[in-house]
Formats: sequence, structure tokens, C-alpha cells
Amino acid sequence: MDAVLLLIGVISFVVGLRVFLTKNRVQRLLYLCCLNFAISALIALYIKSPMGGVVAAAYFIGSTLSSNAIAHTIGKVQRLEGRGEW
Amino acid sequence: MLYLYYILSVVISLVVGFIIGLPVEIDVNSFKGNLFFPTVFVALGLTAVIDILFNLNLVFTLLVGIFSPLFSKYVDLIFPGVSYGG
Amino acid sequence: MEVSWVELIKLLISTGVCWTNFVLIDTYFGLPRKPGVLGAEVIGKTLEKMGGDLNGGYFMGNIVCSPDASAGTLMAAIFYYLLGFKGGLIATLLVYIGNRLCNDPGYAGTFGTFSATVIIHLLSGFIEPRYFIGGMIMAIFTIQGLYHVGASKVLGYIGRKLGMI
Repeated sequence: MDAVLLLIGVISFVVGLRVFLTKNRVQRLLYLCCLNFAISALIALYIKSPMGGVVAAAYFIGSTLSSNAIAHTIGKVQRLEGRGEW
Repeated sequence: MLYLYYILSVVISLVVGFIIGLPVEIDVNSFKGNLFFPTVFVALGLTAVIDILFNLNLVFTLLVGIFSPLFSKYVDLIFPGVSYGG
Repeated sequence: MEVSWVELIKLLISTGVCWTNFVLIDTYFGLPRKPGVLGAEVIGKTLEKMGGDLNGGYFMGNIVCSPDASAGTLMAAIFYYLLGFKGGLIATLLVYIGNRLCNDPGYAGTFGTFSATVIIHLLSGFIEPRYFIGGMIMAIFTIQGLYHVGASKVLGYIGRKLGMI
């Protein structure tokens, strides 16, 4: 346990709490993006081997892909319902 | 000494890319590859992968130098845009 | 456990370096100018409605929807920490593939990863690569996790200052 791990742990805790507290769906997506960054960094810091880096990269790209699809779906739903809100 | 192979693979890929007729000018908004992007980065990345998995020698360097401009030429067919099902 | 001042100063310096790197490169390659995909447009419009800046909102939406220079800086730090300079080159290739999977031409992510690798290599004498991982998380927290409206205003201001909108 050193400063880097402590910092990332505190940040992921705070952001994870804010994911539950916020009601806005779009803002929740932004917090989730920050949480994905933190989890990816934690994977690489705990698995100190080249395979850990590959796992972190695969996790991060996959989570970005799913965020992309979710945001796209929110936009499509807004267009179908004809309202400009979240 | 080992960095010589990296420089050599980039030079070979640029020469082969020039021979097979990749466009020289860079268009940031286009999905097609050109002579420098992504040829240089694919060549460097593949050389680094081979450097870690096996050992570098002239044959691998030549193979990377031939493969990366071909990848760059057909990159819009290998990774087409996402369509999201209409 | 104790946290020394040297560690905190290294973390602060690496935060500044990572923040400058990815904001400048993303702005240069036109993230605030237009939303690349529909999801980024939704995020930009929502933040504008909440009182933020539209172009800064596009910037944040593009970060969420595609691995741009922000993800590239994190991947470069991780792979430099694990594999050295070669790892940064591998991270460039992986980020390029991820960019293409997310419907993005891939210039911002690739150049961001490469420049981050070079910067970490130049600074590796003073600051160890693991501090850059923490610094990147801190930098992305100031943009995506702290206060979205204010962050979008700052990003829009930087984009207008650099004349990229």
C-alpha cells in the first residue's frame, strides 16, 4: 500500500458512490467512465506482469465499447420519444 | 544496437508503402490509411511484440516491413465503421 | 503507513504532465469541434442544458465513447510500467485497434499514446512510471468525476483559446 494505490482507491470509492447518488443518466455515464479508468489502473498495479497489461487494455477497450453503445441507445431513445431531455 | 531493427522495419515499411502506392498527404478526418498513418505505428508495435515474444532478426523485420503497409492499405476493409444495426 | 512529501510532489507533477498531454492532443485533433458518434452528441447537449459549454461537452462525450488520448496516456503509463519503452509501442497498436472498433479514425489516440510514451521515457529518471498511472487517474477525475459543468467550461475555453473550434 503506497500513495498511488491509496489515491486510486479513494478516487474509485468516491466515484463509485457518486454513480449511485446521481439521478441523471448521462452524468452517470461520465462517472462510470472515470471508474473504468480507475479499475483498469488497479488491474495493472495488482497483476505486475505483461499479461496484466493486456488484461487492463482488453477491459478498458471493452468497457469503452459498451459505453459507446449505451450512449448511442440513449440518443436513439430520445429521438424516438421526441424529447430533448435525458 | 537493437534499436536498429526498429528503424529498419519503419524504413522498409515506408519504402514498400511508397511502392504499392499509398497516398502521401494526411487527412485527419478520413478512415483510409496513408503512407505515414497507421503504417509507422503498426510497424513499431509489431516489432515490439516480436521483440518480446521471440527475438528480432532480419527475416522478422522484413516480414513486418511488408505486412504493415498492406494493413494500412486495406485498413478501411479490415476495420470498417460500426453500423449499429441501422 | 506513511505518505512522504516526495511521493505527493511526484504525483502532482505527473498529474500536470498527463493533463496537459491529453487535453492538448485531444483539442488539436478536433475532439471539441464535433461529436464523432451520436452518444457524444447526447452528452454535449445534456451538459449544455445543465449550464455548461457545448464544445466542452462534446469533448467529454468523445472521451466516454472512444479511447482517445486520455485512454492512450493511461495505457502508455501502464505498459511503460510493465514492459518499458517497447510496451509503449505495443500500447500504441492496441489503442489504435480500440479506436477503430469504436468508429473513430484513430489519430488522437495513437498520437496521444506515442507522445505520452516519449514523455514518460524522458522523465523516467526523476519520476517512476507508476506515478504516471496515479497521475492519469487524478487527471481524468478532475474532468469526468468532480464537477461536469465547470470542466466543460474549462475545456471549451481551452479549445477556443487554441482556435480549434
